[in-house]
Amino acid sequence: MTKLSEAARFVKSNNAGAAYLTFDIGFRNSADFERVAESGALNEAVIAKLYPYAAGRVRIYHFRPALVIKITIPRPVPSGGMNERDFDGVQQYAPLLDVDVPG
Amino acid sequence: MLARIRDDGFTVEPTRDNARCTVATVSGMVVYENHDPFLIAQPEGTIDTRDAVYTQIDERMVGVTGSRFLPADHLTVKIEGASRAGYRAVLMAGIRDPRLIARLDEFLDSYRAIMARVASSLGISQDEYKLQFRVYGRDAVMGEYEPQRDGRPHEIGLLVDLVGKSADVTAKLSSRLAPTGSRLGMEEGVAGGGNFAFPFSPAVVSMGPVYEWSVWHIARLSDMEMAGLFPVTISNIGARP
Repeated sequence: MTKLSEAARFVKSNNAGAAYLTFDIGFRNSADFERVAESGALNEAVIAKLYPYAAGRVRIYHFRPALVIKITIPRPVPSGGMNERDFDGVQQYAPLLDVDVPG
Repeated sequence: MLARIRDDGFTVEPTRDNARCTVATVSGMVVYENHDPFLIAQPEGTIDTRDAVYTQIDERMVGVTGSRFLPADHLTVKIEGASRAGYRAVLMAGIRDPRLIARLDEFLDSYRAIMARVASSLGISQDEYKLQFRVYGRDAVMGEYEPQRDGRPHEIGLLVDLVGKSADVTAKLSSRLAPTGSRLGMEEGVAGGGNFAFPFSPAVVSMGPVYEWSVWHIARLSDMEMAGLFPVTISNIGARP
């Protein structure tokens, strides 16, 4: 096993519109992509544990053409609300970096 | 970018000499800032990329086949709007005393309670303002969902965020933020004369009006409404002989 931060080429997050947060996890080659995608290490339960507000509303996509695993969850609050902490949602991936995946 | 649309698909290539399109960059377009890379909602229907095949045609050109457009039964547009939520003032302060950091939540609760008393002495009711704290060095970025709550930082940055219903409420209350927090005494041995290390003077910054989302809806439109709202003009700018 290895950390996702080691296994992936990049891990990032962004707003997808005002109400959703989307994580893009890119891999160096299709072997790395398939190994992590097929392991199911990035599953709904793992995501909901790290982002409890997303429980029951986690969407996971395996997008092979770009070697990207994409995960979309609702934002805790709409972007730019009075209690915003990360306007563009660009630092919310940090807890994903330590998820264990097959190395 | 130059796109050539054919019956069985399309190709894209950059118009700049030293740029190039790759399968990763072209297919990446449906990933970036979208919820779902396979079904992408548009006013007139949905782009379906589930069977799309991306092919590197030459060094700088990519072809795409197999993507579909699923027409919607009704035209829809997404309407987004914001409304004014109030007027903001902020205060940034550093805290270094480990005793204060150890009891930070308690300190912030007292600070909030004293500001509430200050507000009522100024004739400002509790629903006329909102006071929030973001604790940099602890959980400012992820808030209550921060998974790493253990370990005590040796220093924190406290962002005090005040939003008043009117500019007047914000002006009156914000002038009391710095002295109230900096002088708040917690216990014997913690002086309470200078809790806040300010990087600037004056310490409070007025941010002016603040807005938040108030409209985020899908609206159904008739063909005529659509044409009226989004007129399309096609101009012929000349053709090769």
